[in-house]
Amino acid sequence: MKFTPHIKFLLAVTLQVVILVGLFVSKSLTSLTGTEVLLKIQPVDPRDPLRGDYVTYQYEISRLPRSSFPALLFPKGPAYGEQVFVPLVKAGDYWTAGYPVLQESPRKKEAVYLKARVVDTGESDFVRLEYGLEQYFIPEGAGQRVSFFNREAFAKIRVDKFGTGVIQELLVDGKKWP
Amino acid sequence: MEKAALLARAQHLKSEGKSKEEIYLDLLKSGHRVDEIEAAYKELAKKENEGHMQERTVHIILTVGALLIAAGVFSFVASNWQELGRVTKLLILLVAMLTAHGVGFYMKEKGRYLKTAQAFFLVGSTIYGASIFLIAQMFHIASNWPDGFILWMFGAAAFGFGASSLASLWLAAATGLTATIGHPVEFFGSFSDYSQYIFSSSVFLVIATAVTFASGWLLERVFSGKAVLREIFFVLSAAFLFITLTVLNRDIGDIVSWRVLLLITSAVALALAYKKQLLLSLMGGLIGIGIFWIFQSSTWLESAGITSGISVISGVALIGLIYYVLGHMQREKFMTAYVALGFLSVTGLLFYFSLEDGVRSLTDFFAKHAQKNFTASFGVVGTLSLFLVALLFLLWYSREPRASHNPVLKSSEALGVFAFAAIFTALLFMPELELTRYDQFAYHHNLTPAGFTAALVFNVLIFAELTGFILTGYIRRHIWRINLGALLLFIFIIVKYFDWFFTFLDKSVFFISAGAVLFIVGFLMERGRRYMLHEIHSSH
Repeated sequence: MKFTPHIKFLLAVTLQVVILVGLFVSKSLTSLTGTEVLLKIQPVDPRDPLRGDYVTYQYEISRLPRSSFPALLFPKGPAYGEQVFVPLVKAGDYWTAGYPVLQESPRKKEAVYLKARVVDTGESDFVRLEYGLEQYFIPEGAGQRVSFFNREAFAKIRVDKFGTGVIQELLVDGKKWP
Repeated sequence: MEKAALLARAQHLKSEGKSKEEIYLDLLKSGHRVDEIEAAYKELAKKENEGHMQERTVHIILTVGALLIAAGVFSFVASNWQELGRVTKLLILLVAMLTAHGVGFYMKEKGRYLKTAQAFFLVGSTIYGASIFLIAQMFHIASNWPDGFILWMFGAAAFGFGASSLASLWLAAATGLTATIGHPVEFFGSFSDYSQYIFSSSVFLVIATAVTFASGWLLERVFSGKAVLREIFFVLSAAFLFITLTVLNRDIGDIVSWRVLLLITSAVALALAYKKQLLLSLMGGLIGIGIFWIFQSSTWLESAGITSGISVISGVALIGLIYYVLGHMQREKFMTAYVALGFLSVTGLLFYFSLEDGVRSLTDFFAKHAQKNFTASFGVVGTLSLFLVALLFLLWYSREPRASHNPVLKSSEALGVFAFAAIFTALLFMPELELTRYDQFAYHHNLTPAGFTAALVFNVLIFAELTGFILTGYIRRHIWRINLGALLLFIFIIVKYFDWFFTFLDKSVFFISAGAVLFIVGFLMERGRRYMLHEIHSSH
């Protein structure tokens, strides 16, 4: 099949549209169909030049004890950059990390597992994880002099069966923030 | 009345496509005078201009109106962006992108406004990239997101080839470079503990490697004469190969070190360079090998409990000298890269050791506690021996004349290379030496007599090396060697005065004498340089 210049042009434009729509749909599906969880957060505040103001924070479940990683699955302990799946269990109003941390998502409807990467194995009894959900974009200027200390701050997240999470909103002292 | 009839007749004839001469003849035959016909023709022209002006005015008003509406829409969207739903935001972005591409297409196909079309295509590809990051913002995707730049590169490259838009291809190259810049730094340990690609999938990176390679390959066939862009894409493919290998290595449990992956990638870059005659890939491969040696040898030394880094320095110098000699066996295009890299490596080392900081480093390298006995590391000993043997072999091999397009190494050059190799090898076997002593009252390191001798030796060596390099440029008729050597010599002299003589002279005497010497040296260099360049141009 010969590609005329017009067909090549259309294919190129279509690829750009497909990439944009694909990115949007993949995240939207998780937002619409994932299990809703509330995770407790602890914050910091920088600025991203390409996308405006955002708040950076970590979760209560960003640091897990080494004992959460079973020796059978992690004989040498978790390695830097390793992908893991953290089980989430409901504890009152919010969710916290359960046991054990796995290397594959079990993809069970009744269980919620959140995908993470090991970023610091360190020498202590704790392992630091990142979930790719540690930033929340806010209106320009709204992040200045932000402090969540001594306040009850949570992130509402939707998690799909593949362990992918999408942030829905932040709640501070029970109200949507900002 | 007659005038009106005449005007109507003239207008009718003009609408039939008659020329001015034909209209005049027709009206003359009808019995009208020349001055009447001229007046009617002028009246007709005046009415036509008014018509055109009206059309133009309408066109301008419509254009300004359209721009105002566009500005209004943009302003409305920007101020209400937060309140708009995600789907609405996506639709706005898609419409903006498709409008830019559509207008560009129309300009190109119907109006033949090719440059304007290219500008609109670039705007469209830019809106596409901005849309990726705006969608990422909608879903709060992490800020360290090189995948966003890679997706931008995919779309811009595809559009570049699909619409024959060079501007989009340059945009693709720029976004690809942006995506790769953050990554290599991670593996240098002290710079960062965080990988930019920690959330990227290896499949995605394999695709990035393939796309950049394919782009370079396609550029050869689709756009002739775009050598720089083609070189950039092939270098990007090597960079993405390295990133892909490191991520794959991470996913399978770090079975090899990143240094080995760098060596593999450098070898691939070199093979690609020779296959496709790519200068940037060649330089990337050669620099990659140098970086591999620095970090691998440091790791070997650390494992063997050796803190002196003198063997790393010697290795860098030997690699530089090997490049210098190898360069003279290459064709012109690659010769410059090899020779320049080799020369700059050795010059850099000599320059550093000619400075106060450099002499102080030598004291650390030669200290007893540094345990500089590099022979405890088999890896270092083996590799340095290999470098020495390779260099000696190349010096021997280059002694015979080759084909006319492969200039041989002159005997004076070979002697110079051998001398520097001997000096940097001898550094490995230096006894414990105190070259500087710390003055705790002045909070400053002072040179000992041995330190002063070492400093003097290195200063003489670098001066001789730079002068020698300039002379090789004269002998070989390579103007770039003369210019590069002269520039570095000038910088060397400037730095020397600030580095060494400042503490020995009164300030005013220092500045006056420094200025005077610089004038004299600068004049002599310029005169010498002009003489050499004149000789070269005359002989050509």
